[in-house]
Amino acid sequence: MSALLSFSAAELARRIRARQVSAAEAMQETLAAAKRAHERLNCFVRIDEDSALAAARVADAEIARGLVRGPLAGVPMAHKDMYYREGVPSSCGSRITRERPAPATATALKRLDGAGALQFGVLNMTEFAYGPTGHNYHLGHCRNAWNPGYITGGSSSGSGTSVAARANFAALGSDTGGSIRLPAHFCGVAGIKPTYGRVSRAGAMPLSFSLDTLGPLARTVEDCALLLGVIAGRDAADPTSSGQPVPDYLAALARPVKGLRIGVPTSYFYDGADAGIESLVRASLEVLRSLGCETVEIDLPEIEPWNQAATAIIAAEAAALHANWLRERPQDYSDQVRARLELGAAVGATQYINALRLRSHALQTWLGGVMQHVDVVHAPCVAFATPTIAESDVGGGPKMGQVLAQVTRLMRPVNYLGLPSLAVPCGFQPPGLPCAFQLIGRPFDEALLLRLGHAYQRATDWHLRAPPQ
Amino acid sequence: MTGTSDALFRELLARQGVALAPERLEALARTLAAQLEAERAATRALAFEVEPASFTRVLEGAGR
Repeated sequence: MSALLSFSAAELARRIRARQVSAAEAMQETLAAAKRAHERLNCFVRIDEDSALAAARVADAEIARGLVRGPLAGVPMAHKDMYYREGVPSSCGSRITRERPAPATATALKRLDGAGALQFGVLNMTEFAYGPTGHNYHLGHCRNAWNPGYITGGSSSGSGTSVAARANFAALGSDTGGSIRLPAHFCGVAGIKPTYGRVSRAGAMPLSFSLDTLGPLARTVEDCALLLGVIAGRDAADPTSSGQPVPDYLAALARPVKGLRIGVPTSYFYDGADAGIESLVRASLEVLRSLGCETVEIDLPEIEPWNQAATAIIAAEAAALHANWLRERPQDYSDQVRARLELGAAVGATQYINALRLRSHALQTWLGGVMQHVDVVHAPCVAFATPTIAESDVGGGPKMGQVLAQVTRLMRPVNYLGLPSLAVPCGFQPPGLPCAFQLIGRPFDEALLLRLGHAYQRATDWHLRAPPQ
Repeated sequence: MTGTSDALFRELLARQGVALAPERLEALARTLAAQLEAERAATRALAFEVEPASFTRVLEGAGR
């Protein structure tokens, strides 16, 4: 692997600005790496070689004239194929939308364009972002860069594995029930699920409007901070986007972490955990303690009802969104997604409304109880050893509910509460597959999570390890 | 489910265009039952007046 491909997005941007590397050179190497990675990992839906190279040459000409568009000028990126670009079809991982030109460009893409990032392709994903493992029965299953026999996690499967494979400098994903943090865990990259409303969802495929969030997956926490700073903030095109001011996430990384109080759950998150995973996640706490952080054991309220409520909300909202296609084109869904949408059609109105009514009470319980004593909560992303693609290929069969619930169990409560959560790689489980912890923060306190995650990465080198090419 | 409620349930789904395969019915009923049980216990203490929109108020308020 070339030195250029080993740079983080932030490092590459710095070198392009300093004209030590040209955007065209970066794009050429990335395109070659992307094609190689796709052969092994099935991670791209489309690679736009000619237009990406042309855009890179334009960026070089601009930089030569002293015009730097923004903090990501010249950095190649590909994104989950559910971010619309006007006039271009987005597959959304499905058979249904791949011939439908998008009506408008996603706000997140417009903001990345404005910051100078160069999109060179779109990435594989779970069908309609409705699945946590990375299986896709239409486009082919996405494969883990560390071992192609294993799952990537989903639904942002291509985002996780392309970034891990050093075939993409950073990628947008989406997280409704873990779809950023799961691929971050399984593929060994950083990923941040922002607070609900922090990033505009305009122009991105919806799954569950009460729970959907958009965010980046990247090689480093610093890269996550860089991208989040670009895409966050109020957007008139998304009435649910928040007007809370966007802090300077990069500047926040430099602040000390000594004295921060880290909550360690005594229940739920470690229940039935694989010993190897638990050991890796708890070892990351030792690193944080060595940086001067204080760890505090915390008792959690009963979380399982929040998990169940989140499941009902996603199912009902997804079924509502898909009602027409489910009636008219049921054969165009995979068994798994169709089975889950059928479940949503069966969720009653009172059940759905009560699941939403319970949310504010749950959030107040969390903020007033758990977060009163700590600054962040530290927990595993997943409590079991990574399965192979074959082992977890349950389709829409009788094991589906149990397997999918197990994968998302430590994710969904965080979506239900609307809280930000950052996944950070923290080592490897046998046979050489990554593992990550998550940091869960107060609403709109992404800066603190990024600061702590960055401090952890400065003290460790897990994020610098690259999978076999 | 009893035979009558089974038929009614399938009819409600059919009217939404969902032709549920018989082998899926049991798993679906089990999932819904677990969700409803968890929800019943959790909402027992919920104040009568609470509405869904209160969530974003709490979220935004905590961010200030």
